[in-house]
Amino acid sequence: MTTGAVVTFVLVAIVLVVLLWAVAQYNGFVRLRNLVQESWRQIDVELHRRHDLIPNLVESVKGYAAHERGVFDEVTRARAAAAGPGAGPAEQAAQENALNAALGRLLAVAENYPVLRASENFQQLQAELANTEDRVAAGRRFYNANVRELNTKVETFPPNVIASMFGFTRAEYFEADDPQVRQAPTVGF
Amino acid sequence: MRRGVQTGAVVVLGLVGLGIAGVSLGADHPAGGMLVVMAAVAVLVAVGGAWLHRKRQERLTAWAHAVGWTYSPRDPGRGLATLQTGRPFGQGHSRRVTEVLTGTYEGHPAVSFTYGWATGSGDEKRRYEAHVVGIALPAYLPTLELTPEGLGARLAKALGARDLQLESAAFNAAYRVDAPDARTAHAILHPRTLERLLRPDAVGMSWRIEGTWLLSWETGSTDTERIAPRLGVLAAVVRGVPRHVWQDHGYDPAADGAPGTWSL
Repeated sequence: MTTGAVVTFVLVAIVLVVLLWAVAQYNGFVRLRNLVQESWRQIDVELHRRHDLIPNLVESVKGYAAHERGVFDEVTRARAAAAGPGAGPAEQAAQENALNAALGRLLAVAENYPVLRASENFQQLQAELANTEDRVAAGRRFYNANVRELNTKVETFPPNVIASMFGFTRAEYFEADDPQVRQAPTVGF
Repeated sequence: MRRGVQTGAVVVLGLVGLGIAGVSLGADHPAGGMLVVMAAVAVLVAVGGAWLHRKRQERLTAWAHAVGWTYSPRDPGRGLATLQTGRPFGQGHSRRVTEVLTGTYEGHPAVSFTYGWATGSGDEKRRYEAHVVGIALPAYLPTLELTPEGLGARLAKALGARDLQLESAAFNAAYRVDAPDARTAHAILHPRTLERLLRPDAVGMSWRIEGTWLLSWETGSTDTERIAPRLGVLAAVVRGVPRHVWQDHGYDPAADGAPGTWSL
């Protein structure tokens, strides 16, 4: 075999290896992007579950504290904003933070009514809300883990070469800035 | 037990036979004295081994009675050797479950046993043992395995094995996490459980959720001193599983009341 043939063979082998690597990286990016999107949709499901609980909670408190109209209106507005479609992770996080703040004030009102606090219906709603908050928190952690993996791949070398060639970009984390969101809203009964 | 006694009796008889042969040859015969000594030593070893074995059985029985558990030298028909398919089960041949201790721990049905298996045959045959400790779960959960991060884990990952990364760098450095269902694994391994698993009594433990069992295994035979500490870690993992994870798998802890209302 001539030197030229050997060199050609080696060059072709190198090109093939690089191509295979590039294909594997591209497929990895697609897989991660789909995982991020799917896990975001799962959070959306849990958030809607939470949003659906809130009207019942408002009605149960209204039955005892109808005069606290300002608080009820605030919760209703915040819920409507959070339940609206099309928000990205950062915007959704801000809306959920606002909703949590409004819910906190609603539950603070409920604390002043012992009969309400003792009612089975209200306690059940509280337990369901806490359970749903746990689901949202779990979904957030899973989503953020996938985002972390995608972002690390987008930013590290050499995968970032493939990322920039094919338009793969960083994803947004779903972050809760409000410390109250870090735990399920509870009332000290 | 009966087969062991029979085997032991045959061995002792054989050794006695050797001794008699030695005596027959006479002390002056070069081989005679040697045979007698060998037979005597072998009988001592056999008798001593049987005595040690009996003492161990007595210790395990006493330990079981002291903590309100029950002891059985063999698997009492519960299929313990097939509780899970992952390590240490499903390896080699001549699998055997012995020294079975059953009871409850913090209200959870629990079990401890020595699991033995062999690999190879003839001169290449090797026998292994693992001390398995486990808690029964109230419902099926997707498989989740934690093993200490080490050279073996790193080699496995280099060959494409899974390792779920959580949000704690210290946890990721301490453990390799293998879970086909990453979502449920993330839900189970939440920050409080990660923190618990980084405490000294938990670091270095291998455990796996598979089906309706959470099992931990360590090399060697049953060590009663290690049962409670390991069950403590396993019970903490079970306590930490969020309610919604159980609900997603057909069980509601709130509806079921206190732990321990299910049984083996």
